[in-house]
Amino acid sequence: MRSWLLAISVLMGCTPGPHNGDLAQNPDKGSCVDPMDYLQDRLWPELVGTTCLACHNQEGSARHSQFVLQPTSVPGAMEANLQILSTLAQKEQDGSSWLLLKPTNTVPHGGGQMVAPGSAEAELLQEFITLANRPDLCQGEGEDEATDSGLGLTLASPVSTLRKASLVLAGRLPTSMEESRVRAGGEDVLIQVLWEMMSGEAFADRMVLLLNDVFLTDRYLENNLGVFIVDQGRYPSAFWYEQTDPSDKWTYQTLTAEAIAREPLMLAQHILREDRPWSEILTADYMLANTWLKLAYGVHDGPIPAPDDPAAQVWEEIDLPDYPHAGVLTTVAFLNRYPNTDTNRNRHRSWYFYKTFLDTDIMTFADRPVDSTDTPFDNPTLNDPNCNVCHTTMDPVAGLFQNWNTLGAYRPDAAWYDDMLVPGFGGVDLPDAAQDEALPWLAARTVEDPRFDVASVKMVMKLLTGQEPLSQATVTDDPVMQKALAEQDAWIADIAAEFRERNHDLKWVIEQVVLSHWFRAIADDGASEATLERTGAAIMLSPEMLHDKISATLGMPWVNEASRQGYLTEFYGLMYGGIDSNTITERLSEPSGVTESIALSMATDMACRAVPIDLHKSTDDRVLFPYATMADAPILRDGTRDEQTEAAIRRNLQWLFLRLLGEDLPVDDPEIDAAYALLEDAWTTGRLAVNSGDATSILPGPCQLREDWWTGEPLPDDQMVIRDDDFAIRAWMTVVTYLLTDYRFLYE
Amino acid sequence: MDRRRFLKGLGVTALALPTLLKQTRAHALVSGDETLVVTLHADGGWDPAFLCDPKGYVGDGSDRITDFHEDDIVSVGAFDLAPNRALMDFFSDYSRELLVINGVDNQSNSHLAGVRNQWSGKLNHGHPSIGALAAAHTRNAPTTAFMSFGGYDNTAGLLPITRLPSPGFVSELAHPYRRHTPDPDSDLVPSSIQERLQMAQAARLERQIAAATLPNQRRAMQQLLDARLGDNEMALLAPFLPSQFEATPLKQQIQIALAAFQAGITSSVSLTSGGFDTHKAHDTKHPVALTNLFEGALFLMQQAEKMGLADRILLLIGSDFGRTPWYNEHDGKDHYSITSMMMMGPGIDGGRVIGSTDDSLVPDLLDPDTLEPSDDGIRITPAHIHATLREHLGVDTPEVAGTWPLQGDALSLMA
Repeated sequence: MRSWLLAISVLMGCTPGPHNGDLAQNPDKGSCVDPMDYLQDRLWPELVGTTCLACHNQEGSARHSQFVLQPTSVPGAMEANLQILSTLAQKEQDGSSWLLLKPTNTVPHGGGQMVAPGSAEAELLQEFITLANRPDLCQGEGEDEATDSGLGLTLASPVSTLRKASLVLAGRLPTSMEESRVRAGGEDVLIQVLWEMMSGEAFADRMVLLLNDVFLTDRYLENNLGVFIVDQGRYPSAFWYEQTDPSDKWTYQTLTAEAIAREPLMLAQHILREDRPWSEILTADYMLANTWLKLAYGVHDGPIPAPDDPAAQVWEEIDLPDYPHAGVLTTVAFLNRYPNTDTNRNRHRSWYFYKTFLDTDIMTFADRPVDSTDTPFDNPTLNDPNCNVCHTTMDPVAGLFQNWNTLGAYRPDAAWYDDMLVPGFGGVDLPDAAQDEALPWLAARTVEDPRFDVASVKMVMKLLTGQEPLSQATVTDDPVMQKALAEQDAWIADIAAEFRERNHDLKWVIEQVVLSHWFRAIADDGASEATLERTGAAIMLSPEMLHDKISATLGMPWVNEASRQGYLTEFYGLMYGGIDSNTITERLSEPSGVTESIALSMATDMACRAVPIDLHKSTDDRVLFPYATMADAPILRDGTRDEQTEAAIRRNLQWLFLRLLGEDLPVDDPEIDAAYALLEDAWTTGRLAVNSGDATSILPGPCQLREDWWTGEPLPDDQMVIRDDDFAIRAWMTVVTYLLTDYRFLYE
Repeated sequence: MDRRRFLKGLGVTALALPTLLKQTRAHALVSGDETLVVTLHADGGWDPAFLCDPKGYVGDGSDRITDFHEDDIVSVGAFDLAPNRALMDFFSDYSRELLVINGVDNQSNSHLAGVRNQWSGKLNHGHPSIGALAAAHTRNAPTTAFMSFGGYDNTAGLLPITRLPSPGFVSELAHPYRRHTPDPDSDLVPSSIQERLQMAQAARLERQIAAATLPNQRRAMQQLLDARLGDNEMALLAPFLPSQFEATPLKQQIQIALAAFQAGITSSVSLTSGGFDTHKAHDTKHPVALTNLFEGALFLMQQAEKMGLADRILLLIGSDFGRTPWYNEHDGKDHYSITSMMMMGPGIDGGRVIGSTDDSLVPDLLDPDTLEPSDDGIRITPAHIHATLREHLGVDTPEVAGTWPLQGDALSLMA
């Protein structure tokens, strides 16, 4: 499998590996092969263009899949194809890339097996996967240096920014191609690559996760709650699955519940995926639905698909008959999540609407004392100045939700209360002609309001930096804080204005935040106290993001071995600061003894699993140990040291710092020295313990490699890893544990 | 938290760490003379007329504001109570310890502002809850000192929030070097190497802190170091967890909180019990919420007694606000700014009711010195109560008062 890479390496007279931290003096890009060259020269003509393209094109039978290729006659086709191939190459299941799993039909492939495992075609794909997953192989030319922000702050280099953005926006490491291009092209290419990343499926999926922090509609994923929030009077087909075969019924229920719960987030994803104006989040005159949602809403024509039919999972725009859509506002999940009561009269919905889409927290007006016992007014919310300070703003918009009941069902001709302010927005009453379409009327006016632009920019800032932007309600009178607020608001105002000029292109806002000091400041170089107040706040990764980072860096997730459910996503999420979208809606930003126990448990467990597995692989397949072997002891049994061995170990430590922490260090960096000292210490201590009988020469049970971790298939005896006579594996496990608990791993 | 500054000031090196690790661990625990501050929040806004400021109807009840006759009001010690079994059970057992403050003007009908005022003494954003303030000022508080199961748990950055929603994972996490086994010989990192690893981790973080120039980054690193240098709180907690857990979430949370206090890892806990926002069918729904709340409060104190901790529990019970002295058209009750609050614990002279309201739940004014009704007196607000609580808990430092000032002075509520 490695023949092609090796051949290139030999021709170039060098060996593969990460550079030594000083490219200019000692360029070491021995096996650097441009993935584009590889695609054009080998992969396309020998496999993808001749076999895959037949179905995976825009008109082909696989047009609904995530893998749609462009024919070479289309301008820019190969760049697009390279991007989608790279993304698939990095997507893994059971430790293998989808780019191999699909055509070999290891995971169900609509076209059946097109590539035989172990065949020359499989090798071709594996070569490409290796290229896509080894950013060190193609360091490229050019300098990658930290830059000056102009605010007295040092910003992360383009490559470092790319790594952080890739993990935050796509839950993966940059591909070798991406990193190589950014290293060579600097800031301009960083922007190009960001946009390419934002056109991928990983970004689309990540935005669903991030935006749930705003909408909180994933609350209805739990226990299939989604199916129980639909008004059966309006949607009598909501429980359509009850009529299906008992063997499929519960699967159908789950699929339907997920579809109902996810409708708002899928709309948001659709807007971003299709490069629509973000204003459509309110103004979309359609809804997004997959087959399961259509069945629940009674608008599906045709037979009921099988539960695993991929076509049934495809979300598309539909128009419910006689239903005035207003983006997310008229989705059932949204309307349930922000419910109405007879006495609340949609005020909760109004409060959320203002807070989320108009950058206005009406409740901050409520900071003034109110006296329920001493109002001379019959209708205080309408007439008492202490009350109507909020209600003058809140109640007209509350009235605009008049057509939707608590369960989110549409009620045309619904009468509104005559003891409240009349429905309206911005001082304009709802016209009679729009009485049945109050929310589309509101949406159209809201997106014309500059506060919508500001709210959108602030939303992106919070989602990408983890930090709530300052507001007048939350800052003290301290002059530094006031100046920090003014600086922040000036930046936001500029971005918001251009956001509008760019037709509400949210991806552009994401780009601006990623490029800004809010996202990438790494050092103070004379910034003002006010600037520093809000800059460089490194936030503990959310459980979901840490889960993804573990998979991206180690090549395997942290999951329960039996159930394969993620520890951070299914078990420890709330304790690690996550949310349940129900009662716990704020993420924790500070670590405690509990989060530290989880982090240490993760690091210990993952080092135990990943180190033996990686060392067991052939060198070119390793993600953690491309240079060191189990035989490379820092101190030989006779007590002497071997320079070559030490160099290999140092090189591997250098690689681990780059891979796991994103730190590009020279081999003689003090941090490499410290890690080397820990390795040597663990090795020496452990070996003495083994020799004295205080420790066993057998690996702890959970760390032993007796079977393929992914498939559960027993390994041949000669491939098992059970013994650790020289304590080499456990010493490396100690070092990997050390790195996985590092600040740079747990934070971004 | 002094150890943070201690370590930082020393400029800790790898060589110094082993000793320091042991020293910090020996002290990073809530000591045996500390109090557990429990804030129990009745979520949604309770109705004092159905509780400790009962308003039974007379005659045919045509203008009633509760569903019980005034003859049904129950006297327990110094208290008049609405006829609710769980409420009476709790008050019967703790009538000598409980202090009730009626006619508290919570100054808001808004859930968010009302909850903030109730538990921080301020209507505004950003002020720490009394529980967080207490935890942050606990001597040698570990990073798990403030545990929250919901309610108003703003810490204003004083310390982390610890969430332990389920007891099921504690034993797993108690031994992070093992994989779900109690066997001490099955550590994945041998015990002989664990301390070396910890030294290396701490030394690396110290180097990172020293090199960081952005204050926020340095602060985040310092927080991680604090959490790391603490003891293994989950291991400390595990032996104290009961073998059997109660069925209801509130009682489970109480069991975890008491075990955490006994283990010395927690000194303040925020609990919440919901169901009080009864805009419809008030008479049916509100008693159920009250029953759940006071069964929980009784369980807390009974468990604490069994564990020998009862005299170290400071229990504060409150809600978003009160409910209207009238019914709406859906037989529900809406928000009303007048409420009640209860407390018991060390230093609180119980068996007393302070404050009163008329039949329409309008507070009687009180003389701020005698706390007796006075026409030119004041209304008690959360600010007064929190100023008093801060003083009582010893957290009324100039720094706290300067950063989070209250618009009310401490009153002689406690004795």
